[in-house]
Amino acid sequence: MTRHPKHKTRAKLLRSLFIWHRYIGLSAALFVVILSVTGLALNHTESLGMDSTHVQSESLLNWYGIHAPDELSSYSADSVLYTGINELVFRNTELLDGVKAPLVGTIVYQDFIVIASLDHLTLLSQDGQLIESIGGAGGVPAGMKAIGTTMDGAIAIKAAHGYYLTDESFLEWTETDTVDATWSVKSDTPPALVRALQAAYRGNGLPLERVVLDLHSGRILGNAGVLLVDAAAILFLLLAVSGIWLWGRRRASAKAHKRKLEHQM
Amino acid sequence: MLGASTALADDAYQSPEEFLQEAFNNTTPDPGVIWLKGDVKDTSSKILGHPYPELRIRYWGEGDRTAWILEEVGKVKPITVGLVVNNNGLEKIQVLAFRESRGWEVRYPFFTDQFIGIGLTDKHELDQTIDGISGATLSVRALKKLARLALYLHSQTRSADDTTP
Repeated sequence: MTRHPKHKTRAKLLRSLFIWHRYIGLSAALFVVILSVTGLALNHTESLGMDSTHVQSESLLNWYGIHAPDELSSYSADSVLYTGINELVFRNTELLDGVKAPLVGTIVYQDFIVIASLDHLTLLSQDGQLIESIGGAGGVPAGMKAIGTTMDGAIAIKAAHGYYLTDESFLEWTETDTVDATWSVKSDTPPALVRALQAAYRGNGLPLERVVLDLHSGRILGNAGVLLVDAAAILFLLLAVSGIWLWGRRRASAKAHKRKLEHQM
Repeated sequence: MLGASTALADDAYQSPEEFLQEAFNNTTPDPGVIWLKGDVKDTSSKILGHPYPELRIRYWGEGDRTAWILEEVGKVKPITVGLVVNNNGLEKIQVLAFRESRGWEVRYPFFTDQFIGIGLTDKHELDQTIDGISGATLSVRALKKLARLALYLHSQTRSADDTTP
């Protein structure tokens, strides 16, 4: 008995589609695993601590282009070096939260360490605890260029629009034409500290959440990665459509076979 | 110096200086400071769920009104908020800088207006309910904490002179 040519073509198409479905499934498997694992992780970023964990892998940091400057400038106060690297400020190698960069100087004043940046003064206790960060609203002059102390014990600020004096409360600011002060100057950063700070800077630059998010969206490979994930999404759609179609064909075929058997009986 | 215009960062909606000028009709009073020590430190930590990152906080006061510029982390980055307390009730709360990627809806008046007139209970809770915003839970929580903190600190400035370190 020979099969009808129409049935033969249909069976061939079904078989071909089945093979395609299988290959699409195999190709999509890797994406399914990556998207599922990263998706699950992103749903629990806080409990997994991914937002506060930073990537330390040299190759990943290089991939993201996170580099520390070759030369660093530090200011010394009470035998401690304060170094600003881009937006971060370090007390020796310890990252200081709440201290603004770029630094323009540091002084020891009574019980405080005073760190001056472009538009903020930060007061630290001798052991590095943050006492207060004072900005423009607190009267700090804009565009600070240097900080120092005068012979009679006032704090002197050289700013974009002139010189200012204040006292230990930092509540009153007096503008003045000239100031005779000892200004804070840059200190040499020892090579070992430069290397440690560069590593610390890079180590604080890339949250794990960013990497997982980029893996999920494909952006870790740039635009090509996004297109790759788009292609994977199209594969998933093809899988769903071909799967449903194959299931429907097989179901219809099984029903027809059953009816034929019943008819023969 | 307060009158000087300040360039705003991308994540800032209003500078603290402008907020204070608005709050005090362009005549911002001299600031005072309150030290977070002893009971004040303990209660502040209890309100926030952690110690405030600074040991002393600056405020601006005139009559029964005080203004505060406070910060609290929403998810990972600090939200800067300006608050005005008048006679133990919140008169104004405004997000000055929002650095998180989500939850920025807390800056809009439909949310912040709920805080107007709100006060503190004896247990340092807000005396009215604040409706949350879907998808901005952490930012809403941060603003509620700062409202409680400002109201509490205001009450402390009224009860003692803490301007001397």
